[in-house]
Amino acid sequence: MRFRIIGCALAAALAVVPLVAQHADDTERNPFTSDSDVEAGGRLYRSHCAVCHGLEGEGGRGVGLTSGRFRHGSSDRGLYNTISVGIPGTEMPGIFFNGRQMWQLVAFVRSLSEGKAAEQATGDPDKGSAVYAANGCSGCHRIRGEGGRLGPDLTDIGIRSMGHLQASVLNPNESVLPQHWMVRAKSSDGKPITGLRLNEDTFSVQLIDASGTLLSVHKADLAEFEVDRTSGMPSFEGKIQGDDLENLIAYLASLRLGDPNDASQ
Amino acid sequence: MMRRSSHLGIAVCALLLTAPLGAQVTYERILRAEEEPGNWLTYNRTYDSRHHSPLDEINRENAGDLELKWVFQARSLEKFESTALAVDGVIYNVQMPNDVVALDAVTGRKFWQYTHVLTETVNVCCGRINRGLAILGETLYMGTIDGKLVALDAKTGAVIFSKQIVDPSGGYSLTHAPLVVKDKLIVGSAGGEYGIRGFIAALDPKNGDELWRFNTIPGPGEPGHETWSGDSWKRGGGSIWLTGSYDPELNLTYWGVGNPAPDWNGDVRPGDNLYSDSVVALNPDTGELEWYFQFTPHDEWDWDAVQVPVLVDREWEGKPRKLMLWANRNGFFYVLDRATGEFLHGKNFVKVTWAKGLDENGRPIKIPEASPTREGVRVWPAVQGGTNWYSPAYSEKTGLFYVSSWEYSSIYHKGDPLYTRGNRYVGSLPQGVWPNTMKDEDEQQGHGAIRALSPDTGDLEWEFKMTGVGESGILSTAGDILITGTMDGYMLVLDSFTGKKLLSLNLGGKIACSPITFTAQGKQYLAVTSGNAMFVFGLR
Repeated sequence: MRFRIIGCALAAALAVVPLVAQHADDTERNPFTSDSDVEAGGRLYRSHCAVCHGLEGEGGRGVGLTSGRFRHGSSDRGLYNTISVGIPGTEMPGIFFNGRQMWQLVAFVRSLSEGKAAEQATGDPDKGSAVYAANGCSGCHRIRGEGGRLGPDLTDIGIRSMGHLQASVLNPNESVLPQHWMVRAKSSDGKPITGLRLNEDTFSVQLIDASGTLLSVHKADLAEFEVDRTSGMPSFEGKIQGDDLENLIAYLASLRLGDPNDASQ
Repeated sequence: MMRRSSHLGIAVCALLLTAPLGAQVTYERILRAEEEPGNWLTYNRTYDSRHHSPLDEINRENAGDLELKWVFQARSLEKFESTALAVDGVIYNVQMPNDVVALDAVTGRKFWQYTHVLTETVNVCCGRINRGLAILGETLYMGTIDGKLVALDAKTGAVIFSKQIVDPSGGYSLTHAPLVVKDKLIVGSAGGEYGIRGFIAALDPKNGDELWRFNTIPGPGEPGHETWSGDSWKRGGGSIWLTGSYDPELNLTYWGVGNPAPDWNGDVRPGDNLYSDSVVALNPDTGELEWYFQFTPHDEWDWDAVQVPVLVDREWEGKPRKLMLWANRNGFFYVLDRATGEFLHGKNFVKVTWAKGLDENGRPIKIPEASPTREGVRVWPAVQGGTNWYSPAYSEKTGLFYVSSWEYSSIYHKGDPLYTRGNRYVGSLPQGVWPNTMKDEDEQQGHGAIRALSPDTGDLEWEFKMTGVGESGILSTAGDILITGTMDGYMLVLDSFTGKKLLSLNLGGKIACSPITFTAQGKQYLAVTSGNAMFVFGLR
């Protein structure tokens, strides 16, 4: 055991307080759950959340909210914290309303799962896996440590809605986030440098190339440098269709991190 | 396509700041880490855990010329205890408690960040911290304080898998860097202040599945169980919170085991309480115990044997011998035969008042009056120990063992331990946690020092005395320098032969991890964390 700088009495107090607080959080119930609260929460949701999670919580770029299970806390307080703090390392930001409004938002999110069945894929994931392989997707995408790295890692892509997955396959240029932009550059001696842009500042750019090598380059050492904001992924419109498309979407929707038997995943 | 800029001028210097090899970090590379002085591939750099680097571009002639190259500012106010890895031009480090960053070694610019969201109630005794990562192949491994093993793609930070290893609601947590041995990851659980039952386990790097387990607190039918009374073993502590060492020739991995629980009241656990406060030598293929050596039987002062086992090959009484050097929290410096566990020599390296000395087998000759009492009893060393988890170092060039030493006392009280699952189970708390904080203790009694010990005798060869103390490990290099730090924020560079100060820089925050050194683009760098930032230095 090592110590932080605290006296005995303070140490004893600290040992107790966070624990009590944590337990209180887990059991704390939403005090604002009336119909009018849900309605008020819905207004906030539509203006701040629906762009990613869908107007009916069906999901999109953000996860679907109709299952009633949430990876980062399914208790009322857990949901409150996730909405207010956001999820670090993801696109989910925290939003700031007063306490009553936050609880109303929680009430509305809860209402999204009432009486609704979770979105079900109609295709066959196993056959979809074959479609994935046949179309060379693993050349750019990685699943559980296998595959390329120029495209987004798909290990946990199943949290996205199936509509979003299908749109990404058929029209990848519809939305290309900055973390998916490409660097296309040439060294002063004409050597091409191409890769996924990971970071950039005034003087340097960091990227990963097709071989999976991490590179950091001085811009001053480059003869040419540009950032391509279009998707490097070709459209599969008309190339994957019918059952193949349904199966592929079912396969992608099945990809989840963690224990597949844990529904909350 | 948007053109940001073009034809930026004719470059005359090297194109790439980083030209990584891109090679996988195989077990064989870690095994031969000594041949890669520019990298830091495992927590202790090499399996022998000497914390000595062959790099010598920065040396005692030019250490005063070091200049700051870059800083990584962590977005965390927790204590920065993580030791970074340096792999082919990329620095991997942990932002407390369990975020991981990949940084360019030359500029410090970030390639990627993994952000860990704690999902469980977490009870940890001493801060929401992590001490480092392991890498195998192209995968980074981290134990988290909410008890998970997280495997990350070293190139992108994407999660490959995340597996629950221990239950944080029971006081268990993972804080140390896993150790890669062959095709296994070796880990153990922290939580010695929460009445856990400790263990060391080998996990499958492919999925985190457990391959073997060694219980540091033996249960019924296991050797050593007889050293516990009643059901005390069920919550006997024996935590693991620092990475062990490995001898490939002997095929033994060595791990220091933490305190018995409850810490300061031994009445509920009569007996020696194996394997608490011991070093255990395990076969990494099976987890079988080859030998053990218990430094502090029936510990009542919280003297975890959680120090890095330093493996050296030296002559002992005229014959080459495989040795283990160990400056223990209990105040004694030990020399063991690491093939057999035989005790060869021991001597206190700080003031000790709880034992008269060590017997011929290395067992302490205890002074009964030093046991904690209701009223409190003053004992040297203090509760943080003569040293603690901070990495020591050994240099073959000087033949000296270097240790951050704490010279002070605490007043040990005995209280009534009450066990409730997942809560603190310690039996009171000592007074005088930090040096020189009690009115009757002056600077002569309470201070820290970097001490150089002779492995042959345990004698003090030199010391660099501090007003405060140092929670930093020590890095030794072939440049005949030691790099370390203090809790008051000074980075120190000392002459490894004499202890003479070559450089002191106030970095402004507590230094509480081990400095490392690496090369990038052919230049040597030193990395020291202070406060909430990692500072990287090099020569102009």
